[in-house]
Amino acid sequence: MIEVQDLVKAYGSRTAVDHISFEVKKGEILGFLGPNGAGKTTTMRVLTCFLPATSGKVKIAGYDIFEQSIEVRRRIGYLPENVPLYLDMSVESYLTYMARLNGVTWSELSERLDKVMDSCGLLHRRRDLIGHLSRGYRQRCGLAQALVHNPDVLILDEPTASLDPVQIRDVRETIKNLAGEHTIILSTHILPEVELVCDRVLMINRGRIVADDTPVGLRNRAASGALSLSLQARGAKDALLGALRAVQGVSGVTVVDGSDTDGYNLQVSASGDLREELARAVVQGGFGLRGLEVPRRTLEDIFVELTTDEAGLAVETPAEEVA
Amino acid sequence: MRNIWTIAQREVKAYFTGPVGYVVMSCWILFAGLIFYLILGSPSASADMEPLFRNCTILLIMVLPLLTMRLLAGERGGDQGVGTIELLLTSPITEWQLVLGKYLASMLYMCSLVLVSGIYAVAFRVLGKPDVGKIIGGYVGFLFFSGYVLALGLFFSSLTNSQIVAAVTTIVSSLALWLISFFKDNPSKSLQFLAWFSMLGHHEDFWRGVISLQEVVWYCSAIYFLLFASKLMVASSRWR
Repeated sequence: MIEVQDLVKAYGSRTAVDHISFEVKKGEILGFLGPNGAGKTTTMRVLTCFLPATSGKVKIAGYDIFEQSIEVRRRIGYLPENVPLYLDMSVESYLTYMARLNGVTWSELSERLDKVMDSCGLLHRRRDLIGHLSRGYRQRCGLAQALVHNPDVLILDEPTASLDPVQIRDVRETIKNLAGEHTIILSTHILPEVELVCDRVLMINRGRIVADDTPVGLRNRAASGALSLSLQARGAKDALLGALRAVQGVSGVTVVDGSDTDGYNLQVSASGDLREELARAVVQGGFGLRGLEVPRRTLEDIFVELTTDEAGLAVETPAEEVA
Repeated sequence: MRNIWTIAQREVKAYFTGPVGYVVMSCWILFAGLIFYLILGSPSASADMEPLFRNCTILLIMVLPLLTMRLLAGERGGDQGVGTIELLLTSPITEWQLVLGKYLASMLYMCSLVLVSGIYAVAFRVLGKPDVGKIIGGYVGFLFFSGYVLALGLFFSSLTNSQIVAAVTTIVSSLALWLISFFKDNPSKSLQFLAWFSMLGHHEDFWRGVISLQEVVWYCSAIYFLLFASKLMVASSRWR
């Protein structure tokens, strides 16, 4: 549905998007993830034909964004980051205007309006002036505007920004319900959102793609390889450390704090998930096992690692090197 | 065509529901009425609308820029921070359609101003025996003249994010063009040539009841040029 090849966008000497290539299949929800200034908004603006690309090729629904821009725009619904609205219009007249501009005919209009206002929870505010709406309702208005002509492709720039938790849940539900029928690209810097909503994640930093995977894939990548387990046990310190170091696969044990009577907090560096082996070693050695866990690495950790990495090109780097 | 009409419709509605439209309409009615009263009250009053037209053109220079200032500068949103231009430029409409839709809306509202002033023509007809040809010519001249000022205003609105700047630059440059028109009787050829660019030298024929092809062509080309420049400015916001 969306093919991006070697996309470059430079503002003067500053390269905002640097040779990005990716594809999005029909019905997929792609999460665009990156810190501020990573190039998310710029990429979206190029895809929506708002900014011309410096070089590279982008095709949406088979149309080239440069040569067949109007055809592309017909098939795209776009929610810009700043949610542009006409504050002097009512919700209904605003949506009517956007629908007409995007080619919705009068005969389809009322049906489209009802559907879109219903799915965005705007039905009871349809006659209110947008200028009188709260930030959350304005955001919904922006989303409704992107959906009103039933586009094949939805491009949403931070759709849940500045919403309260209930509204965020609603908007996420709405977006998830749209998948299948629509191809969606959404940008966010809220990580749990990506896990909840997206089929695929594209992490970008400084205009480059640093990871392209499913949320589960990213998590698995984090879980495999070298680990640092935390273990709490009671007993004589030296004997305990000796017993643990004897376990195959353990490369080091460090004491965090504790004493012989209260037990020790230990960090065990291991080549994998060795919880059973460690537990056996502690129990067989006659020590008291008080706790053992593999700290769950979240997408947050991976995100921070990938985006703060100076080289920034950790795509092919296996996780054990960074763990 | 449909897109042009969709855009024009919204803008016309905004004129009739927003404060700017009412301010312009009240200024127009108040001052045009005052001018009409002063002209009829003068001892040398005759059933001739030319002095009225002559004075109202200056009034138009002052009020019409208030209609155009919002059209494109407001979409950029410097004053309000809305940035709706992003929506328009990612909708399946061309830059020409956008510019023409905006221009059409301001022309339609201007026509409503002119229509209101039609009451003076009716008063002249009832109270005296005016030359109907001159009145019609005068109104046609009004339309062309206003069309020019509105196109100029739209162009300045396309240059800036600020509606205030758009309005002020339009008024100032219209006044400058008005002053330039006084050069047309200057002995210097180059100053005469300069005066040719002023919209004020070109509607005198209309006041005399003559609709000359030459002047119609002048106005149409000037308006086309200004709209084309506005279209270029809108397109350039993609890479500015």
